Amino acid sequence: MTALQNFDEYVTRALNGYWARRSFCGQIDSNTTATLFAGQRLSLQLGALYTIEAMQPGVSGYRLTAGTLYSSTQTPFLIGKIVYLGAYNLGTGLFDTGGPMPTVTEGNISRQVYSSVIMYAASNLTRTSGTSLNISVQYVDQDNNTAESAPSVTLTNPVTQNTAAFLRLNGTDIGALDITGCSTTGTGVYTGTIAFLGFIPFGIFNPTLQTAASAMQLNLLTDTFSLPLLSANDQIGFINFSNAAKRYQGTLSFIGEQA
Amino acid sequence: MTANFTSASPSIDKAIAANANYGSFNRLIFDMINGTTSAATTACGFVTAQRFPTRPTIPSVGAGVQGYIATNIQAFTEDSNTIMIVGLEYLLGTVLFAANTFTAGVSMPLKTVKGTSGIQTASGLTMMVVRSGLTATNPVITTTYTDQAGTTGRTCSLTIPTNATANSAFLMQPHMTPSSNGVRSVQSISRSTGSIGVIDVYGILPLYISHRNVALYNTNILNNFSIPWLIAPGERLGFYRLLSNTTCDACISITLVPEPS
Repeated sequence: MTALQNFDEYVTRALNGYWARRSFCGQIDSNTTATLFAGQRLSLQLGALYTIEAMQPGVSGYRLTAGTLYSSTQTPFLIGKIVYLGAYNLGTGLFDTGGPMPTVTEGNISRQVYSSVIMYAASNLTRTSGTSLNISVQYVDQDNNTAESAPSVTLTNPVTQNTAAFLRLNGTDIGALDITGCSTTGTGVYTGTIAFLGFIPFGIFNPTLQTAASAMQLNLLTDTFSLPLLSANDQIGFINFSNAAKRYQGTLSFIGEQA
Repeated sequence: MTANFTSASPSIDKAIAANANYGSFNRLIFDMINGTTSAATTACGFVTAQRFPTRPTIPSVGAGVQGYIATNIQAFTEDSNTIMIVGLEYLLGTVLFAANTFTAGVSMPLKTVKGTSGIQTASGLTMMVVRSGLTATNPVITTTYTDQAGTTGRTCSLTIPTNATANSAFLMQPHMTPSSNGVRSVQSISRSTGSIGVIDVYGILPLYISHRNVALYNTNILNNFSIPWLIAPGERLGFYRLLSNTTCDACISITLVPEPS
């Protein structure tokens, strides 16, 4: 069986039961911090992730085709695949190595893709003593230069869990293939963990036409013509550009890639 | 597979198949402007603009693929009431202030549209960009160009603000003759005064334009597939913002579907 080729085949597969709709929800009970570090201008928030389930018998992968999202605050949500690149425990100073960005087939070439890096407060970050703490992240850039070190930034205090920011890279770097380490300077002593995430975008839930709390739709079949292929345990994330407390819930529709 | 969006008979089915068979290009890019840029005046574009420093290059493609078609681009910044533009960007020429030397760039490319190849494009959105800060009092920058009809020797002059800062961008169209405000290529750029700094002239084929309303709502105009420019390997994307000259963060989400040969 070849990969999904057209609308007719989509309909046939759906009628044959190779179709799944799953629910997801996220809850951020209090406002997140506007900035993770000094100088950040674009507020960013990342809530709960959705994990792709084990494949059903006869299905080799799920292609995301559509979704809905209701949010208690009006803001667009980017949806995409989350890649865990690592995490730094501010309390212990230990760096947990995650995976690199994946190798995918794009334009009929297999290659490792780069991503902007999301710095994400996986827990509350709290300064317990000292004054300020500067953090610098080591990474592999989009051209596979392995010894890159991002400019140091000064952490905000305190930072609420789910607060996020884009890592500021060196000079003309436009993405990272991996995060390899983290270092700090300054007298500040913090507790909490910062995770580093890659993001492969699929599309957007756009509240343009809503006037209040938003119910938004995503239809990749007609919006992008690009139906991402997902495997068991892949994680889907929802980035939004507001730091307000919110609850959101929605659905994701998949068509099965037949084994 | 055969060509889709560059053919005379494009279809969504073909795009779905191209995605499944060859794989789409999906990227999230973060960029920023860390210093206040120089605002436009009636002598240089009228509309204040900024150019982000990053220029992603479209990577190579494999057998059976000639490039990509942009089907979804989204751009976000922290400021309301601004406009974001993402486009194919071509460096048409450069002037170095130190010796008033001009360096030629490329011409706007030939594209295939609806099955007709070799169509000469022209930039309808041509930007004069300060690459590195100027030390000059209201320099007049004069560009000689070939217009959209192939007429050579056209000229356009902008008076740039004193000591204009890096990443400032100025729209050239308002200062061109209305009947010749598309640009195929640039033959010369010169400055009237000043000794420090660099100015580039970029031609743009827009892929995405969005207006940011009173909050972070992405009220985009070209949300979906609208302009079938083939994005070829080696070509570069450019990011611009209009209506503000403040420091800025930007997040750009890009989905490109492969275009079969």
